[in-house]
Amino acid sequence: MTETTKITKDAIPENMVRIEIDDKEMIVPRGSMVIEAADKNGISIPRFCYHKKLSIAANCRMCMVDVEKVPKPLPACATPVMPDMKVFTKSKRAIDAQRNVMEFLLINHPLDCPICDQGGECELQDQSMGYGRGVSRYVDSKRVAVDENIGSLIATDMTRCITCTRCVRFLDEITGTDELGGIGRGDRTQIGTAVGRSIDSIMSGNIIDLCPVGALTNKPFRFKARAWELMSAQGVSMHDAIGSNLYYHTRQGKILRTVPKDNESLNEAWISDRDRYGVLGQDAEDRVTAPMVKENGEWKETDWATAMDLAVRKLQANDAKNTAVLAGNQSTNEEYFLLSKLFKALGCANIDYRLGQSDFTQASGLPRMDLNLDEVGNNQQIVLVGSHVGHEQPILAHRIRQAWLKNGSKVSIFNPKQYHFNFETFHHYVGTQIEWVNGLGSLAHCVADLNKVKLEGELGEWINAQATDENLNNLAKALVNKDSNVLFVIGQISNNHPQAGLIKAVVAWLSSQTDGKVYEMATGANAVGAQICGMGSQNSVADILASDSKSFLIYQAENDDFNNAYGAQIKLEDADSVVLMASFADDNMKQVADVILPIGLASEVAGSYFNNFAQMQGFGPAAKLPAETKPGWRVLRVLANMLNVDGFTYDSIDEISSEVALLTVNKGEIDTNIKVKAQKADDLVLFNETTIYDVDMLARRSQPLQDTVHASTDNLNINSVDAKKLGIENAMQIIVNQKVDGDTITQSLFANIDDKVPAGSVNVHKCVGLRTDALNVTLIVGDSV
Amino acid sequence: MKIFRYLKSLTLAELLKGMTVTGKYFFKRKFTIRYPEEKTPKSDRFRGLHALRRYDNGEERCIACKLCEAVCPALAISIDSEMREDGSRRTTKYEIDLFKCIYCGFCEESCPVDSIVLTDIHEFHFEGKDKNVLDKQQLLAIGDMREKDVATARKNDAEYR
Repeated sequence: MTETTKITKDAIPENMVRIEIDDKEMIVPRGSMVIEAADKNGISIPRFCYHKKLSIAANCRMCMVDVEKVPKPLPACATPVMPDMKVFTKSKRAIDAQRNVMEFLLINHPLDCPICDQGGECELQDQSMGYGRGVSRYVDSKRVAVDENIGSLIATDMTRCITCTRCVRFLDEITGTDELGGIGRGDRTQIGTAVGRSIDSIMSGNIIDLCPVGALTNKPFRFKARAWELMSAQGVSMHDAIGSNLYYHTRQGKILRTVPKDNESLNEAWISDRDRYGVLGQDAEDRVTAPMVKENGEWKETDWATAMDLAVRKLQANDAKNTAVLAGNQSTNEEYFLLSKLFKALGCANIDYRLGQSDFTQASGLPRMDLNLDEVGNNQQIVLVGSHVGHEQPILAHRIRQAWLKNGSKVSIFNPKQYHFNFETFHHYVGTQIEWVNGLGSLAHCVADLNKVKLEGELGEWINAQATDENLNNLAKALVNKDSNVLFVIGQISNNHPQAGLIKAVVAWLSSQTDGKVYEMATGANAVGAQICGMGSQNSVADILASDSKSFLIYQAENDDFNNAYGAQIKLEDADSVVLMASFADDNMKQVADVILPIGLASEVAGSYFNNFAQMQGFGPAAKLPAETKPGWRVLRVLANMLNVDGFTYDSIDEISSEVALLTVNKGEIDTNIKVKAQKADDLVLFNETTIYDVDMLARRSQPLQDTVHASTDNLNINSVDAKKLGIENAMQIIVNQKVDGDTITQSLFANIDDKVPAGSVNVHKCVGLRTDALNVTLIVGDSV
Repeated sequence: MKIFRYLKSLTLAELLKGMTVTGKYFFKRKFTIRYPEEKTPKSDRFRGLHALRRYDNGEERCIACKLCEAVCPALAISIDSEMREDGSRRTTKYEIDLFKCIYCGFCEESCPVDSIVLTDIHEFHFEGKDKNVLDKQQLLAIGDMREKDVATARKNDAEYR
């Protein structure tokens, strides 16, 4: 389509129209706006309030354009295209309108660009260079707004606000939390929370990117660097398996902030706060930057050669059969590949990365993923099974909200706690960790009755034993409806549940009965990669901790990662030798380890991740490795050579990546023919919850995240009914006893009465040190503090 | 032609021509001064050693906007910034490498708060290998020392800027 060839009427499809912008002909969808047509065809129109992912507000008036036969200039973002419309974006009338709007915008905007963090990347600054006057004609007083403290993540400077309302619309439409609004009228309009609260949305950081001026800026990044000093490096989310694409911004080799990279099929234009601020954990105090060895109980820094020699001696001290490798779920594919290759070659079968899980009956393959992320919206019925989805995979929660908002999808939930979601729920089943699984069984029973199928096997017997009820029958009717697509999401609460295998089997059975799809969340950013690279095909972590293993290699993991942190600590203390290869070493790990080899985080090394949809995404090193730290794959390569294992001659990461790319990716499957392990409630049932910022070693160390309301607490949350029965009041000290295999774990916690916890259940955060695999607890009520 | 050149040298015409110039200046007023006892006057725009200025109340002017660092063609300036306890934007490091600096004065021109200035100090030396880098404290000290001269020079020059 060139400017000389005219488009004939017949060549235009039904749903398209022909328009001209600046004498350039184009065919655009009927009903689209002038600004969209211009953007698609590379014609720039200045704008502040318009954003392709948000609704149209047309309140900044910057995008004024001249339309033929219209007496006044029109806003391009709110003017739909009409057949044969002629638009001029550079005519005198359009430019005059834009210049005048700019003059009004600058009336109240302070001229503090030199101290503004947005300086250098500011839309207002850029456009005032093109449309602003050199000299201000305004002489009256300027408006000043009071700043609010909206939490540890976002800094405010509301005097700079030009009330484009992008942040207001984002928090209304995308997160659904409605935390900001415009107060006042005319030029006194101010954007604020009105009630002085913090912004607690888990995707709140995106309003920093949306803000066209410096009113909302990144708080931890405040005054640290200017936009032009930063180098940008592509990266992949290190905290959830969606694999959000992002850019790390570095200065002098150090990551200072993170911004999203558009990827329409994954994170669209957003990233969660965990991905944005999690990496700031890199500078934690317990970061190891030099190889260390323990001499007479004292840690001493040493050189690599000495530390590697000692590590090899420690690993050779025991037979390979009595050696175990326990890895975190945040490392790159290449590291997992070498790790599993090395220890399998040595004849070691004790390799695992699923430290937080306890039931491994359905965990030997990849998670089942029947659809891609952008297909979530095609499902009329979405059933979340044991998932606090927004805190597990925030981008998935966003997709589900959009499905509910735009396609009217109905979302049903089975959970051990009454979480708040940013979409309406069709059916919200809340019960204790035992009850909700039974509830899922009841749903299966209803579906079986509706479909008139005979239930067989142990699973069938178990489903049959669950009582049906009318509410669940309504849900079952909606699910078996042939016209609706059904999606089951198995969340991380299910993954970490002691009956994970049963839950997955019931979901698989339900999906087969309802023609539904299953999306099984992977627990950890690169759990899928670890599985593909062979880290999870042999003895599970439960077997390893129960075995006679005496030599341990802990790889990018720590005590808090374990489902059974207490047991793991005792096991490691008893071990002959513990080699720690990690970026961080807290006091617990320092107590048990003999030698520490510092390796780089995924943001500091080259490598790749597999996301939850088994897509391999590569990245280069964004930050410099601190001091003596080395990339994990190099250390493993040298370790292999020192242990005399053949086949470790890799000279570059690309050689390993190409071998990883050749690994077979089997489709995840769930077996419905299983042995059912029943759970019985004796007294109160424990729901041990992994909170959003407690998922991995990096997020745990990110101070800005730990300063938010979502950080873990050492509270014991209990329903008011149970509290009354036991005489518990808020802030009382409670002793919790958890009995497992004749062993008792005792923790002293503070009571918090919370009716989101169902009756018969107590809820604690995982960091307090209780196990996730034993559900029965008893309470001893102490004194009020 | 050769004969003319021969006659010219024989009559010492060129020598006399040269001596005329010398003789003319012998009786004119002298240009040279007795440096360092005597000094020529300097322009208000003289670009010498750098300084960081303060406000009258003692507060440093620099707000760490880093425009001087960005504009410096010789990459002689390096700045680290941070939020000071009172919430204001300040430098934690402000260094100028005098070996790199070409004394172009762009830093002074770019400064929105008239903090970095080039004083009229042109007589300076270093007594160590690494003394060519001026740090923030040194720059502020130079500023304190020469504030009066700097302010006067800026005032005199203001109407021509």
